[in-house]
Amino acid sequence: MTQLEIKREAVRRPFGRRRKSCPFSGPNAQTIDYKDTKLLARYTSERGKIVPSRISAVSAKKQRELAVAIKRSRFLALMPYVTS
Amino acid sequence: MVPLALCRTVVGSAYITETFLAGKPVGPSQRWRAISQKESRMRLYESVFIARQDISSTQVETMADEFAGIITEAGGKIHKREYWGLRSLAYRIKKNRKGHYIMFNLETDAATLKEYERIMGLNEDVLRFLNIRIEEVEEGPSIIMQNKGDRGDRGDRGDRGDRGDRGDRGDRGDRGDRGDRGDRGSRPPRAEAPKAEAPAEDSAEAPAEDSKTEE
Repeated sequence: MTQLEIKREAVRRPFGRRRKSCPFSGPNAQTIDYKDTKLLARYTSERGKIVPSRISAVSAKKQRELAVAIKRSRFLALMPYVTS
Repeated sequence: MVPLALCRTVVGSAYITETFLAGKPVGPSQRWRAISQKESRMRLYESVFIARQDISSTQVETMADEFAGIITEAGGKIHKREYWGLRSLAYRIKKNRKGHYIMFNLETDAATLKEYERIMGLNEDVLRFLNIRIEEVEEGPSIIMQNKGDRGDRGDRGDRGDRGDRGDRGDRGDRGDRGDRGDRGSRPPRAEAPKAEAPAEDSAEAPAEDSKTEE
């Protein structure tokens, strides 16, 4: 646990990473569509889980939209619920 | 301080609330009309359904016509219709690994949509359907149709089409000086002496091979 924290500090420090902005907000942003599986796949893990917004830097509003789109996509079997 | 009982009547009854807000009496019949108006209001929907894999695409089309008929007969409109083809499903649905996808963009009222959904649910060839409300019909083909060309389905790759002209490759430019090859040292005498010049001649035509031989 402590080791992991130290490691993260070490990674963060020298670069001073800035927070990325939301890819769906602002001008010329992509629209979230449940049919666009290629786009949605970028916001799911390898196992098919929805990636949390703290990792993907999607804004809260868009994350909700995204989650709905992924779920619709799964329902229509365009995306998997689980990949094992 | 308003008594709690009064509060409840005001909040609990839509009839009283409406009277309060509108400032004019609204009878139950009018309220019913408001609801039925809501039901008959035309809205835009996007509808996708998946048909069983072992029916033919012409059968799928007739099925789609049938469903579209329900909408149009009730006074609705089909704005867009797309056949996404036989796609492989991400997981099995009713033992099917593939399915025919059809998408509609339609304008209809809620009551007709309900009927449309009921009939779809009864049809055994329909594996699944999803109807969602949309604000506007997007122009042009949907993303699935756009991607169909470059990705397609893994099962049927279809025709690859003409690859077209690759154009002129342009000048390859000067290859520069190759430098001195140095002294090759002494060589045991051999009968076929002219063969030693062969790689040097080839180099102009086949540079890749040339570099290999040089290394």
